[in-house]
Amino acid sequence: MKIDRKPWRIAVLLIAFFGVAGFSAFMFQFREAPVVESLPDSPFAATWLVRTPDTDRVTAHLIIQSGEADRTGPPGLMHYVEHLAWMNAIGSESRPEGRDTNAWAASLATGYWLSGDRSDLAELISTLTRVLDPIDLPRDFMEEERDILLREYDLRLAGRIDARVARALRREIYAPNPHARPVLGTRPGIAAFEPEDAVALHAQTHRRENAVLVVIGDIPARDLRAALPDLPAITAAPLPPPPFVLGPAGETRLRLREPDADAHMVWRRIVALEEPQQMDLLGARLALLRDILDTSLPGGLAGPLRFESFITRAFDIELWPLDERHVEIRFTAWPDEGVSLERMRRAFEEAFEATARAGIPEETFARVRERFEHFWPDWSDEGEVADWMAGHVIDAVSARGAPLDVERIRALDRELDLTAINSLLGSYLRGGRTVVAFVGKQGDPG
Amino acid sequence: MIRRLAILLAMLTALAGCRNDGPAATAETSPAGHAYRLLFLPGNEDVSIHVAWPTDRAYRAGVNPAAPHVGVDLILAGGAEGYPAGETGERFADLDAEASLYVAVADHVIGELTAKKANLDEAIVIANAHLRAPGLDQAWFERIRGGFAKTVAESQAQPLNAGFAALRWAVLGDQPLRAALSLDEPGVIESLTAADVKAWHKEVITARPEAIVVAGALDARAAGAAVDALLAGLPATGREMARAAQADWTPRRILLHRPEADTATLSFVGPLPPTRAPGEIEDLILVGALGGGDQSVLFKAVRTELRASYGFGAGLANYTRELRVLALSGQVVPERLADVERAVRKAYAGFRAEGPGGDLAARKAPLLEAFRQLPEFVIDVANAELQGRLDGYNPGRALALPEELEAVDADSLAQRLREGWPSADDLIVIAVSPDADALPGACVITAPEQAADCP
Repeated sequence: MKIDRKPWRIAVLLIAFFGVAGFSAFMFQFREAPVVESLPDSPFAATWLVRTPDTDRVTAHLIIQSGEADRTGPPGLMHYVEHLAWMNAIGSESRPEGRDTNAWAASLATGYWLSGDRSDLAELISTLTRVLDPIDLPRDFMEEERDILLREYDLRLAGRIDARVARALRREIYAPNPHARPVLGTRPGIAAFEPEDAVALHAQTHRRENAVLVVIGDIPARDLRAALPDLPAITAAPLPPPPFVLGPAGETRLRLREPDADAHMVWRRIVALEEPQQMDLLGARLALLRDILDTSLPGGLAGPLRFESFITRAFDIELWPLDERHVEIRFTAWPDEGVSLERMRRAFEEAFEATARAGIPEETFARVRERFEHFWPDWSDEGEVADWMAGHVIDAVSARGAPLDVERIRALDRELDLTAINSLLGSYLRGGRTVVAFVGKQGDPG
Repeated sequence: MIRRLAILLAMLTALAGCRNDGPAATAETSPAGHAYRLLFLPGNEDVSIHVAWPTDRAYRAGVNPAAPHVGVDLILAGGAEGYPAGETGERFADLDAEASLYVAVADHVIGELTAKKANLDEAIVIANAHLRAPGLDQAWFERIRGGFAKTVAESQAQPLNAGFAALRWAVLGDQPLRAALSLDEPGVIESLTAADVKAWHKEVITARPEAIVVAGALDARAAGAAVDALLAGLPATGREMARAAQADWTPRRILLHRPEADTATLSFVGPLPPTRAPGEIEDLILVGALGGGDQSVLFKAVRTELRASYGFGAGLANYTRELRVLALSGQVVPERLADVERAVRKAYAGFRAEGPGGDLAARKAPLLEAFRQLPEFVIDVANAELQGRLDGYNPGRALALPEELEAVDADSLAQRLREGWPSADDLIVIAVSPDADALPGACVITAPEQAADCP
């Protein structure tokens, strides 16, 4: 008997050993090489590494924590700066195939990225950080780029009803905050840009102390450290984003004439919270609330507006945080045949207020909460976790916030309870600023 | 002891075998006689079933071409026997399942059902009810028809789309296929009746699909049962497809005058061989090199050098599975339309003659990564296999794409450009501009249908 059992014992011991070894290796990997890591003594305002497994590709982002909302004067100049800085550093030269790049401008930040093989990491970072170098382009080239901006303006706005509507609403709902400024500028404003003004704004904003480097790839921290420029560490505190102040309470109605538009309504409201909430937690709670409101379950809006009555033939709803104290909701809806935009607005407000007053029923919350696992990555999938965290780091840095690590992100899920969700929903009843736009042939087709 | 050691070794070998078993493709037949392809994807928690029903309605006169578009939405949203509208979406969400039904150019209606393996049976029961006995309720029909009409009208008003509508007039003339693709005959959507949709449903959604693919970690026995359950109760009817359409690719230069347009758009369009013929992978590499980013030939010609546009791209599209097109397109400043036309034509001619050049391995890299990852995405890999099946490829094309890509070399790219791609002078040019004189010598029209008469 003793002898007979021995192979099983050996097998069990082997399995136990390899299991423990594997688990230890797994834990060791996370302990020694976290998915998200901030490198100390960075030559930029910060340097973040997001470790993605099993890829030869590496992408480096340089995010300037300054955007349109930090400016005064004619809007859109920072977008012009972005074009020129990218051309100055990257865009005007031929690159090897497989090395991709682009740039973007937004309200709170301006970003540049360059990707390639991980063996070229040092060269990628060196090339990318040239966007901080003084702009040295021929004046006629910079003037031509101003014309390119006008072409981009036409591309993004001339043929896009939704973009024009969003722009008009942004101006109203965010006033008097600088967040209301249009990132692309205006057509006459762009035409009047002087290259010298862009060069000066670049020199003022594109500085190491304003720049955050984010590197995404399967590389160890020591390799990234070795690839960084040999410059003194930045010690200055990062520039905080411009504070958001709730505009005049009440409702503004817009009638936007779009002759080719399928008539619809866009309804937006911003409210202040009684207590601040951490941004990522707030974002997750609002995403869950959005999913609930989107359903035809009791407490959702699809029941009263789409299925029990024919009010809206289609709608889209989004909720998101502006900062730790302010949240926004946007409801876009297309009316059913014979329903005016005004009637649709009333029906929506009645349904929304009814559910906000009553709160989300427990059964509805439980069902949608169960589905909400898709909001997070599959925590057992290392690659999916890394991709999700890369997006989180880019988003957080672009919003001038601090990224969380994996464990803190995972912990957020435990705080998505019904009380918190209903509290958030109820906050939308507390006044705030509302802008309602009717879009259609006559501005008010209803 | 020896026997137990043997059992232990067998278990460990089996476990090792499980780890090494990769995706595999086989041709199968279900117990009810449905031929299908099984993509066995070990370890994948989801199962996706894709079905392609053939149709030739787009080629026929006397049938309303809006019926398939309204029909698929009505089946998905309007409820079914035992499933009131609004309930299915919530139940599917609980099951972590999703379904779609769409018109795939002119030749097929494609249905896709995806669910966790454990929830597949219930998802199939619900999907079968919607395919077999959709509500087709009059009120829901009118709601979806009205919404579809408004969406189409908004889309048709966009200058770029108006240009492509004119192009279809030039290439297809007054054939039913053109009307089906453009949906611009006056009142065509408004005149659609619920009876039209019922007739379409009866004719197309049958137990005689052209192709079926099941993808997931399930064996042929389970997959066959799933296929039979999904198609149970559908009529076992079918019809011979008559898909005759003539395309006139005579090169022409056409300008659609839109005085109210804020800017101009310029497109070059020409025919490509269908995807059932070799060369599809070469096309993907070539179209990226020609117009896929700031290092592409067209971007350099129009933005970097001519400085006349924000960008100029290239793409592939299908009118039908047989009529495939290459389109080069961009938004340009009206006063430089003629300059851009010359620059694009010259750049394209050079590209066709000399090929993409550069590091081919680097050009392949993003495609290779996407192809290698394909088996991890159950919907995408099933869709790729379904398209391969419709193009006549053997089972497993979706899994063999990395090898297909590997076989592409500079010679095959050059041959593809030489033999498959149209010459620069054979492209049709279509511009939409607020300035009628922006393209000297072009056939100037004021409405898309006038393009049919352009010489």
